[in-house]
Amino acid sequence: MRTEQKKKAKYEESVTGAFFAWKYRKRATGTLSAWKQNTGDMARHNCARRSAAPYLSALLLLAACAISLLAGKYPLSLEKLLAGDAMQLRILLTLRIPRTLMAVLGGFALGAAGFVFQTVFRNPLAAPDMIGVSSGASAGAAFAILFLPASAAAVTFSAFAGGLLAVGIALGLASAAGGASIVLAGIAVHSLAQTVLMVLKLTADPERQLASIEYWIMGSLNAITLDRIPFYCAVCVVGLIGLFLLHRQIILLSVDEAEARMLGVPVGQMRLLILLLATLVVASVISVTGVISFIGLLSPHIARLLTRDNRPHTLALSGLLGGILLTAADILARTAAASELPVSIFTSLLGAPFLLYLIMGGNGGDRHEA
Amino acid sequence: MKHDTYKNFNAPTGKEKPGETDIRKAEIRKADTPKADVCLRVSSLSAGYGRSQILKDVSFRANQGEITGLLGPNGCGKTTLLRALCRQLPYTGSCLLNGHPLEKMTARQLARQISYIPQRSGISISLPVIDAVLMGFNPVLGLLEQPSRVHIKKAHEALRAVGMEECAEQDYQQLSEGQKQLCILARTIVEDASLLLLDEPESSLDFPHRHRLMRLLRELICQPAPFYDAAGASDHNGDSFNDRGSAPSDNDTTSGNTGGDAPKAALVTLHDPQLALEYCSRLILLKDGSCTAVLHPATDSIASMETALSRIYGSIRLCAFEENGRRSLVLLP
Repeated sequence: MRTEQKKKAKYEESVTGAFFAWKYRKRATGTLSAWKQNTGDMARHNCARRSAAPYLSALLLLAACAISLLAGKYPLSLEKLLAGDAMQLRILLTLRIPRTLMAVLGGFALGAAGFVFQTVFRNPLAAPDMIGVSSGASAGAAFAILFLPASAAAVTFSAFAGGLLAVGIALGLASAAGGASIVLAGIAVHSLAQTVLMVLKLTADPERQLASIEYWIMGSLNAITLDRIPFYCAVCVVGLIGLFLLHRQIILLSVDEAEARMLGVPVGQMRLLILLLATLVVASVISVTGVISFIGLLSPHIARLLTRDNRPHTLALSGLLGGILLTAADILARTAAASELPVSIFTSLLGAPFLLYLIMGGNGGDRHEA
Repeated sequence: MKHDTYKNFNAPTGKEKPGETDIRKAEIRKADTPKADVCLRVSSLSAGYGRSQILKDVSFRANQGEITGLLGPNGCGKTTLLRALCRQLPYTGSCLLNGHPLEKMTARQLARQISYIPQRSGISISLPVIDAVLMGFNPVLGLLEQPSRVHIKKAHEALRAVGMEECAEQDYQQLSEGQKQLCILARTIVEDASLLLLDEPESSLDFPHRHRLMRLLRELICQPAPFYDAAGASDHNGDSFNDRGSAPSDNDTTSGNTGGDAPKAALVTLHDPQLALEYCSRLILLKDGSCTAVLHPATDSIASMETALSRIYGSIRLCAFEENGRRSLVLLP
C-alpha cells in the first residue's frame, strides 16, 4: 500500500510538471476523500477550549455581593448579624439586600444587553441608547418628576414607559421605512427624546425639580426598597432568559443580512424580537436605577477579549462582568465620599482601565493563535 | 478503497489515472444530453433596483451535477441575477427550482433549497470556525433548538472535507481570506441545499486558493453523493440527514430528492473567465442585462467561443492546447 502511494506521488510530481498544481491538487484530494472517514469528532469538539473566566467572575461577583451587603454608611458586621442585632438585620433586609440585588441583576442585565446590541447592530460601539432607551427613560422620569405626584414608584414607572415608548417609535419607524434603518430611526428618536428632556428641564423649578432630574439621569442605586423592584426584576429576568435562549439567533444576526436570510433567518422579525427583549431588560433596570453608562459598552468587550468567541458563555460572562462592575461601583459610590456619588463615575473608572489593559495585550493577547 | 476515492482527483494525465478523464467525459455527456436533470429553470427573468431595470428577459437553466457559470463585465447584472434568485429583489418572469416556482416557497423552504456563498462572508464577530459551519444547519433547526451531536459531527466532517479540520476551534476572524471561503464552503456542504449560488467566490483569493475552492466545488457538485455513499453509509447509517426528514414540515414538498446528498447544481458568477472556462460545464454570457450566449467549454468549437467571448469582453483570443486528451483553454487579450 505504502509503496503504491509513494509510486503515485512520484508519478504525479514528474508528470504534472507544475509543482503548485500538484501540491494543492493533492491536498484537496486527500481532504475530500477523508470526508468518508469517520473518526471521533465529538472528542475534538468536547475538548474545545473552555475559558475559566466565567467561573472566576462568578466567584468575584459573589465576593462583591458579600462586601456590598456589609459596606456602607452604617457598616454591618457578620458577628452582630449572627448575634441577631435587630437594627443590623433591618438594614440588611430593607436596604442592603434590595440594593445588592438590583446592582447584581442590573449590572448583569446591562452587560448582557450590551452584548446583544453590539452583536445585532454589528457595531462595537452600539449601546442601548442607540435606539433611544435611556433618553426615552430620562424624558419619562423628568415628566414624572414635573407633573406626577412625587413618588419614587411614579418616576420609575414613567421612566419605564418612556424607554419602551421611545424604542417602540424607533422600531415602528424603521419597519415602516423598510427595516434596514433601525439605527437611523433610533438616532432620530434619541434626539427627539433629548429635545423633550431639554424642554422639560427648562420648565423645571431649578431648585428642586431640575436637581432631581439631573440626579436621576446620573444614576444611583440609592433608596431602592424591596417593594419597588419585584415587577421590574421579573421583567428583567424574563427578558434575560429570552435572550439566552435566542443566543444562536443573535449570533446569526451578526452575519450580513442577505447571508443570514439565506441561512433561513427571518432577519426583520428576529431582529425586532431580540431588540424588544433587550430593550425590556435595559428599560426595567434603568427605570429603577437611573441611567447607568458604560457597563453596556465595556463589559461585552471585556468578555469577548477574555473568551475570544461569542458562545453563550461569553454572553453570560458579559453579564457577570456587568454585575461585578455595577456592584463594585455601587460599593465605591456609597463609601468613597461623605455623600453618595453617582454610580456611573465608578463604572467607567473601574471598567475602562481593565478594558485598556486587555487591549494593550496584558492578557497575553494572541494566546489562541496557533 | 483508498484508491477509489483518490483517483477522482488526480492530475489530468490520461492513462494511468482514468478518474479525471472519466469525470470530464461524464460532464461532457451531461452537457450534451438535454435530458440532464434541470435544477433551476429561469425564463424571461427581469429584475432591477427601483426603476432602473438591470436584467432584461434572461432565460437559462442550471442542470444538476453541473457548475453553471455566469460571465460578463462589471455591471452586466450577474449579482442582480443572484439577488433576484435569493428573492432579495422583485422580479418578473418565472424561476422554477426543481419544478417548483421560487416565489411560492416560504423563506425557510428557500433557505433549505438554496445555499448562498457571497464574495466574502459577512461574519463580523469572532467565533470559532466550527460555529460558523454549524450556522449551515439553521434552516433545519427550530428557533430555540441547538445543533445536536450529529450536526456537530457532520460539521467537523465538512471541515475535514475542505481541509480545515485543524482550524475547527480557531477564531474565524483570524483566518486568511482563502481559509474563510473554505470555511463557508464547509458551511455550504452541511446545508446540503440543491442549488448553490456563488457570487464571485474567488474574488479575494490568491491563485492556489482559487483553484482549490473551485476544485472542491466541482467535486461537491459533479460527483453524485460523494459524502455519504459506500463507506459513509455504513458508518452513518443514514442517521444524519434523516434528521432533516424528522425536522418539522415541508422539505419533501419542494424537492424531488431529499434524504442525504440531494443532487446539486451550482450557479457561479466569476470574475475570472479563465477559471470559468476551466471549471464550468456551461457558461452563460451576460451583457447589459441580457443573455448573449451559452457556451459549453468542453465541447464547443474554439472559434464560436472566441466570437461569443469577444462580444462581451472586446476583442480577445482563445487558445486551446491538448494535453493527454484533455483540452485546456487559455484566454488572451
